[in-house]
Amino acid sequence: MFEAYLLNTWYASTVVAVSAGIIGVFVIMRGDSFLAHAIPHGSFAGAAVAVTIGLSPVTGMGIAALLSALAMHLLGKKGRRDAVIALLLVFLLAGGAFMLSMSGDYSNQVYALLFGQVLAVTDADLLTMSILALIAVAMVLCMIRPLLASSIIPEQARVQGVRNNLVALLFTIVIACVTTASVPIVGAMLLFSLLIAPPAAACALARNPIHAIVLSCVFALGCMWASVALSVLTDLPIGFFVATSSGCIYAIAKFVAHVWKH
Amino acid sequence: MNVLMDLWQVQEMRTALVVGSTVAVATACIGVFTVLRGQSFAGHSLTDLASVGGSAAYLLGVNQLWGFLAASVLAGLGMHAIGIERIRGRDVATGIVLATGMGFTSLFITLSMTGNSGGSAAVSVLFGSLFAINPRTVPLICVLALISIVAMALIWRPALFVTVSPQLAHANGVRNGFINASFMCILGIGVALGSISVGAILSTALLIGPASCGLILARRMRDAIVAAAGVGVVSVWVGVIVSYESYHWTGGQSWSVSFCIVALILMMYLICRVLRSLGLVNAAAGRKAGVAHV
Repeated sequence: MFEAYLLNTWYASTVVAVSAGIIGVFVIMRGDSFLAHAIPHGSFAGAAVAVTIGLSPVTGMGIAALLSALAMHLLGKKGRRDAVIALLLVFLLAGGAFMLSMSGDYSNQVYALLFGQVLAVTDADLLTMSILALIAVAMVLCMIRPLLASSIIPEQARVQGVRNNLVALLFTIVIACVTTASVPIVGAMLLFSLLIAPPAAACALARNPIHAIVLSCVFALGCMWASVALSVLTDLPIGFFVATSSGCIYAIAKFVAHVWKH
Repeated sequence: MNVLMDLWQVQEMRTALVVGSTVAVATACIGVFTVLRGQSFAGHSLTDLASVGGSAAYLLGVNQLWGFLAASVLAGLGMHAIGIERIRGRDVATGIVLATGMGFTSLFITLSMTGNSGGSAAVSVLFGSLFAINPRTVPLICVLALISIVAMALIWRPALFVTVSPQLAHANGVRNGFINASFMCILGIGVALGSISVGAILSTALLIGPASCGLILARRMRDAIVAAAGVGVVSVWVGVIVSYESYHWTGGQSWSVSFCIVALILMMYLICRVLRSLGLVNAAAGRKAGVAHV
């Protein structure tokens, strides 16, 4: 399980878990789970285009995630997430599958990008991923006070001089970075579960934001490591284990929180 | 015209056009209500959950339509029971259920793969193809489409009433819970039909796209449904024909039919939006009914 060819996998999954754990708490607090659902869809199309024209998938994914993050930010301004976004998402998925079908090695690529692949991490990918994750975490740490303020009480934050709009824009870029770093491992379809479930579990149990972040990282790491181990042992897709284990953690946390209250 | 007649001679083409048109009409009726009720989100989630059934059916070697149908109707009723049919600002529970569903989809797909490639199952369940439909399922698809349309017609008035004003409907003796549950069942059938034609994760397009166009173009509900059905059928026909003919244009690699249909639907929707913003169409049936979700 700890052979040399799996070292990249362990390292990458740790990076993914820690960054998703930290950023996820803010996703939950801001109620941005829709963004976390939508941006990976965009990155799937980007990766597909990149594979077709011969770039590394991570580059295409990064550009597409950033573009779709900006588009969501602009479209979401009106406060309505309407039919156009649902249609755009579906179009991006279909377009991604279409691009891959043009490039030959169709079905396995689609499968890997949608549901993740433990062994797909190369050294170069690993470096890009780590840098992206680092940028995302650094951005969050730099703006942690305004971010917290505008997430919890936007009106008061504005009175105190926080530019909510700018914070929202920067945060969508953070989500784009994390998406790009994580999709090769977890897959576009299931990154959502990692960004939402462990942080939501942590938010149900923790008393203050710092607790929540620490707890969320612990949960995400637990999920990720357990999933990698199980996936290597059983040869089943990692996305399945990530989704079910993080779902279980959420259910247990909700139950514990419920018991504490009474 | 001759080209069309030639195409009609091809067995796959006939199946694709018949199934596509039937499904487009059924999803148009259901979709208009879905959009009006602000349940686009429910429709989208049901497609994700339907893929669990589709992939399980693929694994067991059963007709995928049964898998889609069972999973999406059950999921629809489940959503109704927990009360998560509408999007709620910060409700992450729905998201987690969806993600877990997708996790199971990936498990079933992996289990059903032979050798080392899980891809073709994933592509077949998630992205589907009208050309790959077994002609023997056509009658079943038509019956299901008919059932959903008839059921929709039966609950037409009360459903419209509940959609526009739940309290008033309740006061007038409409059984809101029953109507909502029946609608979720019908929506489940619609999602299953969409999934079998354009693939599980793309069926949102067929459900929401033409319906939104119809609601932009028409002034009244009935006209909206007719317009939606028209847009749906045209997208499917043009998509199927373009995909079929692209075999000759690109030298042996045809474009995926689901992609062609989805791209056309998006284009139609954008054109409708442009028409509306230019002031060429001035009323939406939804706005007249007092609901603005379009």
